[in-house]
Amino acid sequence: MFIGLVLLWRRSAPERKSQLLAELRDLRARRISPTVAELLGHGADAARSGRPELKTLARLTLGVVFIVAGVGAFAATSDAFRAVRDGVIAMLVVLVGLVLIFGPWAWRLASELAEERRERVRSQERSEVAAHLHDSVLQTLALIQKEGNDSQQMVQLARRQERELRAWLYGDARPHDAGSLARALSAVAAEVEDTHGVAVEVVTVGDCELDADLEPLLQAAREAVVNAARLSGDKTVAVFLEIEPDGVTCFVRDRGVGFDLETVPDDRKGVSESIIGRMERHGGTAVIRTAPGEGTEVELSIRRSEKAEASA
Amino acid sequence: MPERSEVEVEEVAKLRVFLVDDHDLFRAGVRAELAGRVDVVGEAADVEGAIAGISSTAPDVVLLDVHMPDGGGAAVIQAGSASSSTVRYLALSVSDAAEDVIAVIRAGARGYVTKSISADELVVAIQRVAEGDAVFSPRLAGLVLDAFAGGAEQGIDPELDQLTPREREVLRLIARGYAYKEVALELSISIKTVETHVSAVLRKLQLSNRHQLTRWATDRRLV
Repeated sequence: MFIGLVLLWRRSAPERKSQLLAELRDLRARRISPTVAELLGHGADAARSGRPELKTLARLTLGVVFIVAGVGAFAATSDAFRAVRDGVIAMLVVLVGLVLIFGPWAWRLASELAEERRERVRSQERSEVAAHLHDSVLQTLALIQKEGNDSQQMVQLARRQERELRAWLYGDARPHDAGSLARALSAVAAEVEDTHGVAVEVVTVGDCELDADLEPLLQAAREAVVNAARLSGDKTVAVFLEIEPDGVTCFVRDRGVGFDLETVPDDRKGVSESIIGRMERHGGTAVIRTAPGEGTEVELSIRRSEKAEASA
Repeated sequence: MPERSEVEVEEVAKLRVFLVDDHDLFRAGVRAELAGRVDVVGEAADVEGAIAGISSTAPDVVLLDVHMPDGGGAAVIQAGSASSSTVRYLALSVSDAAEDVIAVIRAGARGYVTKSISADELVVAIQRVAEGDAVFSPRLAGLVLDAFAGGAEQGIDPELDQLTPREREVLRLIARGYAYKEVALELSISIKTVETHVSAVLRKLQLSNRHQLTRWATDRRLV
């Protein structure tokens, strides 16, 4: 019977491998000892050292003796059960024998299996880390070595790599839905950083779902960040996004050259239109504060729809 | 957090700074950047060495890494403030994780800046901390606004568990990338008043029992 169980277990292992791995990882995270062997006795360590698990054997044997005694006492009170009792006793004796012979072996097998599975999880994690570092950090380092004389590009590479590694290491504690406004804005900032080689520092307070009503704000913010990156001459663009129950406000600020709002050159008028016009068409507002030499700050605000407000 | 023009204010006596970071390369980098502008009196690579070094050199400001083996920056601050109350701590880290920031501030750091800060900004931050003021980067201001968001809770101390409208205003401007000087200009108040507000916020951050603060730090809220 034991052999059957073990065989069944072993056979089912490959099919359930991924599920087991996931369960194991979950168990490890909660710091619960995951193996059957550890529940029964000393588990993996004892099995590895080859020491007989005398204490465990004694415990189990004692348990079986108690069960036999109990059933025997019950059977002795009734003659009708005599035949049954004899049969049961014989079966139990055989069972005790089987346990004595195969018990330790079965436990060792179980703990070896568990150990092997743990090792597999470990090595899989190791190779995941290795694969990630290879795809990201090592590739970036190789690129930097090859194109070492373009400092602008090196800064860009380093920054992008930092961003990716940070996201991978610390994760993002915010919900991982792609539809989050804060995440969408961070993605926009990352894209501008890569394209224009400036640092875009995003600070967000709160978060909400990126619905159709907020899309214009995201687009306008993107436009403002691109402008600051292209035209201000500043190396850093500060973006602040605040989501409150009744509305969303976004500030994009640089300390660059600024410009005179009254005498905006034509090529920038269109851009301003795409910020102010876009916001106003969708019931929001955009305010641009700037003066030559004073940097530029764009303030975008929009009310959240009743529906979004209710669900918030 | 650029405050370029404020850097020109030269201190008559150079501030004595102690560096704590488990990365040799980073310590060397900071030391080179600060050379001639502050007096780096010592450095340490671990918590134990930091505690011993700080008590023997008695620096004005300790630049402290948040992530270190054996308890990190918070452990250094706790041990240090037990023996001397004149040493001030400025946390310097690559981690933007909210729980790290909150932990080190609540241990007693007077500010938190990320390692990407420029040398000029770092010198200003060190001076500010040495004077007993608080240093809030835009990111820290954002974290605090986030942490203190929402209305009053029952059974809490409103003095400590809520920000005043003015403090909120100041933090919003800092989060938008304004330097203290620019905040003062924008709100028509003095820089000293800005510093007072920011120090008050720091005190609340350190002393508030607002249970939301800790919960929030580990599990950032969705509005």
